[in-house]
Amino acid sequence: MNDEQTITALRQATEHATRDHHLDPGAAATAWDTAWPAAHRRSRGRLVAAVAASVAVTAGGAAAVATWAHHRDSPPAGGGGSACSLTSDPLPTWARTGFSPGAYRTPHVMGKDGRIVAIPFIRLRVHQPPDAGNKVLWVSKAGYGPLRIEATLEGTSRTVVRTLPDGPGPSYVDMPAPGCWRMDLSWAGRHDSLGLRYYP
Amino acid sequence: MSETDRAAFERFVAEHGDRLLHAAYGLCGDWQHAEDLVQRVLVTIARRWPTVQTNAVGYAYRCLVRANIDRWRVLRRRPEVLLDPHELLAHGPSVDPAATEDHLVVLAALRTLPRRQRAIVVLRYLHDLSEADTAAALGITVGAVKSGAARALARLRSAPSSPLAEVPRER
Repeated sequence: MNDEQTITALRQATEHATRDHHLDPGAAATAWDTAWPAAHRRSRGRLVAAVAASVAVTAGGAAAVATWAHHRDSPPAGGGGSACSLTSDPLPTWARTGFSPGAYRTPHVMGKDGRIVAIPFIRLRVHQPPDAGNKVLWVSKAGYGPLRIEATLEGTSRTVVRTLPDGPGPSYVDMPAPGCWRMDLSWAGRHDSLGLRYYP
Repeated sequence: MSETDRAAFERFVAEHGDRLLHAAYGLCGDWQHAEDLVQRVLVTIARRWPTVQTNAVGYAYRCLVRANIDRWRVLRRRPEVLLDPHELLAHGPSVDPAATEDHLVVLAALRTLPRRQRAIVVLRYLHDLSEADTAAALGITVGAVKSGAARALARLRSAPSSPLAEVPRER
């Protein structure tokens, strides 16, 4: 077999292996929002200044500028496209039990109030291969008791409830549809919220 | 950053995203790691969009190679990991039940190559980068690409149990 035949065989095998694999449609938006969350707010701030400079100062105009200013200073509702983004920041110290130092940057999602962390073991999918599962490790800063998860698919009113009777810890959590699932979490009298993205 | 920049970036990803994903798979051999590599690279590209947009594809390949090397170095540094969720299933590529045995053994042969030779094969022959672009992506000379490619192809064919040596010439 010469070089050309070897390359042809490699191409054929690779084309076969990759033909049904496509990048997630939300990848671009997620990447941009991760890269530019502050710039997104800054660009809105510049728009505020431009509007303030160009609008005549009338009672209505002043009220409109005030409204824009309020929006500029408020975080985007729901956290924008990054609500379900994993972070590779170091795990909080209380969530590191069982992890070697080299694994402290395991991708995870931190609860909005900093009380719980969700660490997916695998890329979460609606349809996993038979030998895989949507394993998520939940680690709470304090409190143990059954963990109630009320998940709402972003942009919809579709809600599902999951309960982990053993509380925060290793679990399998399946969702019925792909997308960003906003999760309200309750355990041992505590509450937090975070988002997990499930792929098709 | 303007909405125009964002739109241009999203067009870039729509046009080249699958290609980058397949290149990442070629480099690391696992779809989940490939998706993570690509997502990381896209964030890097987004952050530097104004300066890289004129050659975003070339820059993306360079970032992919570097990200894969970084990942490989981290794996080497971890002699013992008590709980490493993203490595639990990284024992090899996902197997497509419909793949022929020949395709599987060819892919397996690709994975036996040293990391740099494998990257050269993936970029040069599977993604049709020029020798110069492959060299730029890997941070090596064109001469090193040429010699690496030759050694990779020879290695694939000439090893005593080389699967490619057993692939029938005609079907």
